Amino acid sequence: MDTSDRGTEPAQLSEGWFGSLSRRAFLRRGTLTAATVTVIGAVPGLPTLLAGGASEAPAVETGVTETEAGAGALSEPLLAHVTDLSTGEITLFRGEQEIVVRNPALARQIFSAARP
Amino acid sequence: MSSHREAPEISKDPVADSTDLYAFVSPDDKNTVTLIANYIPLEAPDGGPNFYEFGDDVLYEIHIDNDGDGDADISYQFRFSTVNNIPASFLYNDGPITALTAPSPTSTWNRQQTYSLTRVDHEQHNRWGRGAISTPLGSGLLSPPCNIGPLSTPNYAGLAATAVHKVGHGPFSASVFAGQRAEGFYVDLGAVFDLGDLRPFGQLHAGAAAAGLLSGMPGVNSTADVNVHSLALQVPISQLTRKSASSYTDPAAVIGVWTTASRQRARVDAKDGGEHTWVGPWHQVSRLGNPLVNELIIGIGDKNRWNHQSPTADGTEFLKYFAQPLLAQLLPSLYPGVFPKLAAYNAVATNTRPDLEAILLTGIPAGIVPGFTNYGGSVKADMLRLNTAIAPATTPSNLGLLGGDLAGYPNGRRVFDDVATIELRAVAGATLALVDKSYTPDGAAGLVTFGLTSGGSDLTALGTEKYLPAFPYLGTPYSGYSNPSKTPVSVAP
Repeated sequence: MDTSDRGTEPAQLSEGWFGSLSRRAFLRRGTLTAATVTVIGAVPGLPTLLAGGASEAPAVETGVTETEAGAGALSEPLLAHVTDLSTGEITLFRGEQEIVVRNPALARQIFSAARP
Repeated sequence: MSSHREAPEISKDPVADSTDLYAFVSPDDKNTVTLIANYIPLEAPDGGPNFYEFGDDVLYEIHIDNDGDGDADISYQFRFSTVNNIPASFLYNDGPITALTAPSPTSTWNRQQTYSLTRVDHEQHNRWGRGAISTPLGSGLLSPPCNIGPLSTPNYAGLAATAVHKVGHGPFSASVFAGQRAEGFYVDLGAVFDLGDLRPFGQLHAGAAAAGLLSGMPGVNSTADVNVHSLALQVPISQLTRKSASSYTDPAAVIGVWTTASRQRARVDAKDGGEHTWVGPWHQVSRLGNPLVNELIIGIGDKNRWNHQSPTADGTEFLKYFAQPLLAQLLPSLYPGVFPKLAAYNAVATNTRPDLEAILLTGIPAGIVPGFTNYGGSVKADMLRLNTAIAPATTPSNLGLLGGDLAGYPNGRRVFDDVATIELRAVAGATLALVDKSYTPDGAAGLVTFGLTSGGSDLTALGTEKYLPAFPYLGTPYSGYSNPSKTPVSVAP
């Protein structure tokens, strides 16, 4: 999985290895700044939506496997940040990971659900 | 201040605000380097009942570049964990804290922190190619309490001494301390931020007549009698350099050091007042290498961004601030007629400050100061550069290199170095002639001072700083009960 993770959480450190994504590489990456709608917490069915929407708009970096998509309960916080409604760009924060997906349909669904 | 509250964003996040960074060959253990990164500026010693502490939600790091490319080769990571031993009590402690013991419901010490220390070696060959290898050096390490007062923390110095831990794993070892210390940096903030009206030279200031400024006044140590929180390491030199150096001219002897604090990208406040949720990758929110860089060099519009960048950005997007620093432009205007040569130099639009770039961004090449170099390579990046092959001075000067002491700032930084005066003199042109032989410094450039020491040999800032002779070198923190700035001698214990 390709993420922007610095890989610094102690539980990972205890494993002794980070893999090929180094901190140097992270620091030289850009970051996303746009903000439109934020959905917080455990979104029921979101993993399924992500997986299902991938065929409509190919994900840039989904980082989602079928196994994870089928998982029942979240073991760690999940936050979805809709950064661009027109392109369907959504930044997902989960644990220490940041995953960017493009899924206009999902972005519209979230936006619609977030309307007052 | 060195880096206290130096940028708008981080000034609102003191737990992640780095204030000072030190790196020096340990005077009492010459085979080791001491690294100290301070956080949480201007702690009022009596600031209870919630006394100061590191952030559980902050990743604190001290980085070392040992090949001169401006990137970290080694990082030491500190992560903290805080518990309430006595959740029903509003007090920091329900009785005297006489020993460091592991968190327990039976403890009289209520709010207690422990931490882990991990060493990360970057760009190593691993089973996936190249990446980072992390080595846990210690976990559950005990931080000392804050210095509350004689009833709560009797024999504080002895108690804190037990918070120096020997840690290690495999080929790596270190002494480590993480906890409250007395602030060791000294500067006259009231003067420098009042349009630079340095008290020793008040009558020379452009505003002297209007404000009635006098000359010959001693400086005021604005950071006296406050505390900070220190992350201190003492590590064998051989574990920091890329290889054993043959002499002080060997580039392998030089290490670049900086500290960062990082937070996760997103925070969700708890609706019911419980624990906040942090989620996402860590991103850097605070950075510190040389003292006063973000404070006095970087423009306010770029300060927040500077804190988020790696040191290599200093050689690109921030280089303009180092090449033609605003403070050097201001000095001749603030002190008319005092810096005519600097004014003339500034008047040439194409003139830059290669001396400041050397001191702050690359290290000083060999051949400029006899017997000295801390040049690590041509990559421009703000780091404290320490030549580990230069032995500690037997008679140190707080003016470091400017005082003829090759072991002092900008060769790393020791706790007693008068970095504010050193950098002010450098900006005023005192070091420009070292790299531009056609330039003759103004006489005043070598004389300007904040007036906080009695001279180069004063290692106490006129008695306002009380350093320790051994690790962690920064002094015992001021007690909340008997802080000298607020407690008359007649009622102090």
